[in-house]
Amino acid sequence: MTVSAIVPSIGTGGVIRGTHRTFVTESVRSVLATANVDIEVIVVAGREMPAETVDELRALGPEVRIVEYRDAFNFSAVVNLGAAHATGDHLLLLNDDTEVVTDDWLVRMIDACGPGVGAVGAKLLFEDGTLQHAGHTYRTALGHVAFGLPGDSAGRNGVLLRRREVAGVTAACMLTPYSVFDAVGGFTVGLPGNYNDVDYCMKLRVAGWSCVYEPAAVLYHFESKSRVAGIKPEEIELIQRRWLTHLVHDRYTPGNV
Amino acid sequence: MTELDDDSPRQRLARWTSTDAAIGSAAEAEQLRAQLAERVAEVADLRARLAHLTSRVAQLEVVNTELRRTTSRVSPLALARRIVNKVCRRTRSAVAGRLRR
Repeated sequence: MTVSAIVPSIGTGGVIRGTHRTFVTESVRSVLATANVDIEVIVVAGREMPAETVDELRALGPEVRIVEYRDAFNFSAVVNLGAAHATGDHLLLLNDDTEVVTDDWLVRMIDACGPGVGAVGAKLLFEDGTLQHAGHTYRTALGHVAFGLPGDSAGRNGVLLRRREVAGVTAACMLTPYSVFDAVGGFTVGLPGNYNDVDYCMKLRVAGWSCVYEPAAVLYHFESKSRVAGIKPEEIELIQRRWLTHLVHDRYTPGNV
Repeated sequence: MTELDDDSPRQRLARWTSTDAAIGSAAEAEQLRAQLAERVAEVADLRARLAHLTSRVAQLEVVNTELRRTTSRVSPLALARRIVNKVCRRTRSAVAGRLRR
């Protein structure tokens, strides 16, 4: 089994725990240190990425490949470009502002990616340890289950601690078999910034694959809790035009987690 | 490794674009069919309510016609006499009630 990690990045940096870091470098470093499987890391580098960051990434090891992306930002197009260069039989989509917490995260995600599973998502924590992602919910709005709760929250009847089927998972950390990605035509470039993971998960579910949340795979996601999504009306229009009746009948989200 | 390894990145991207477009079109068509089914059900429901209301209107019209016919048969003088008698009966009854107390 080989995993191809696809990491879109423009090489931005920020202060984490009082220290400045280049996100992508530290993210890839933590992935390589903990992968425990055959892995290649494809960093899809936007034109803004500084040359020294490219050098730092190459210095991390022969597993790291840089694919240049020169067009205007489109997350879906970036992911597709990375996947087009992948050789692994599983794709791991990973945001560059992440850091591995549990050493066996990838093994756990692979284990969760059994027959019939189209995508596996991880438990993602903000820098302060609160939950950023424990699966998608589409019940009342397109959002994240238990968003902002303490990272060790069990949820109602321990639902947040169990590996379980969910409506969808975030592309910030998503494992998907290459064959599945290929069968559904990858990510939709008509959704450049938002809902592309929702759309991908809907394509999987309609085709008969499930989406699974794996709580034993834990990573930090240093995205700001107050990030403004900047959702465009055409993104809302497209996601509803394709999936509205499926989205409003989210049978995976418990009434109260 | 997959059987598609000999695909070039360009070939993969082109294939995914057309696959995604096909899936998207099918999804949109399904949504339109769902919307159509919803509207058809709504129209059927409105038709049923309209039929019920039409039937009720017909019933009321029969009653109204009968009342109009009855009203027109009574002369104005007889009608006035009926009203006066009714008022007198009520007055007598009220006075008798007070006397009994």
